[in-house]
Amino acid sequence: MIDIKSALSFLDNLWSDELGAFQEAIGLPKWWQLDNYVAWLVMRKYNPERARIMEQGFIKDYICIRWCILNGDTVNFVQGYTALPDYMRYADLVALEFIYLNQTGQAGAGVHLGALSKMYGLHHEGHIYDMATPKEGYTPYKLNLFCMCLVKYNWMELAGRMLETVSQIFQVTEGAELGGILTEWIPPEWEDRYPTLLRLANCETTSLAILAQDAYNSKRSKDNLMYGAGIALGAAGAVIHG
Amino acid sequence: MAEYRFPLELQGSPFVINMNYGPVYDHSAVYIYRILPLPITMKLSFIATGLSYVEVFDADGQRFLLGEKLEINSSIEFSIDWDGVGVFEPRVWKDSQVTAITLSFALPGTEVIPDIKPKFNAAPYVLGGGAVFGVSMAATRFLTRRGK
Repeated sequence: MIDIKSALSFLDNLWSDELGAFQEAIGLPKWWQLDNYVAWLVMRKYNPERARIMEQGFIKDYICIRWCILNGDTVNFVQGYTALPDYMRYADLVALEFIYLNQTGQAGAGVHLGALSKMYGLHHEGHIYDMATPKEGYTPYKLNLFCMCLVKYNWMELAGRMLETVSQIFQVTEGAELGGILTEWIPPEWEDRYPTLLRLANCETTSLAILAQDAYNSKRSKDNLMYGAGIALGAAGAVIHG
Repeated sequence: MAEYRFPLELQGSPFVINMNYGPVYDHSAVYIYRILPLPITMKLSFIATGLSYVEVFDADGQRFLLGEKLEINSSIEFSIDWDGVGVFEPRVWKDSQVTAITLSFALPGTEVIPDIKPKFNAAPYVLGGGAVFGVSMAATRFLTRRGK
């Protein structure tokens, strides 16, 4: 499972007090509103003060048409077919569309989850493969999104496996990027295709991994609470009765 | 001209191509793409009543899959091995005598996209069952004592 504490510590290293925002990666001083929107979703839970600073500064008035669906915003979210007519070949767009359809109670969510399940392990066990993979990669953030989708449909075992993959292959365990989630895992045969950026841990992917692990943990806690309360109520009734 | 992009895996086979007319081709621009970029054999039929020019283009890969502006004089079926990457775009040139285009394909079972349903979650039922059982037990006890 993803080490959230360590991932948050990595994000700390990207934070700029001066700008009130997170930079893209260590050694890459670029500040994107898109990345910071996802980081803001994380900060709302783990560092409300920073979240407040971001809301009032760097992402003030920013309308995120992509990650807003993770915040339950179905109004500003741009659906997959509008973003790209052939969006179903891109795992991240399929996952976001699933979340949208599931949230709005529309038909078709299951097929989107089905498409993701087919992309998963297509060429490399434990990895998700879509049209963008050979060119751009971004496997871990797609795995994180797939995990969030699985949690929504209660496929917890597979969701847990997804998080294990992300933590074991992509979470950095030593050095300056400790705790961060790498942008891509590079299979040997694709070694020469990727630019350096994809080998770095970055703000967006790390934030998504934290959100995915959070979603998983929350669902598990909620279920365990219901199991515990149900058993306790039953046992209490039996004791009173008997 | 209207443009349509269809994911192959979500189409039935055979699949009939829309025949609305466009300025260059005798039908709308119809692109077939694969959700899973895997090779597949496409059987493409042009139903023609006379001289026609047809082609199949991969607009993403910028290459002809069948040959450029192929001349046909009657209905014909082509079997095309497509790598599944890019898009599969059947074209009929303007003023051709094609009345219909159909695509058929056999999707391997492993490539069929399933409609996944939410997995059953017992937790709310355990809570509900425990609550009903507990309250009824307690109520029974309470009523029994009152009756004494």
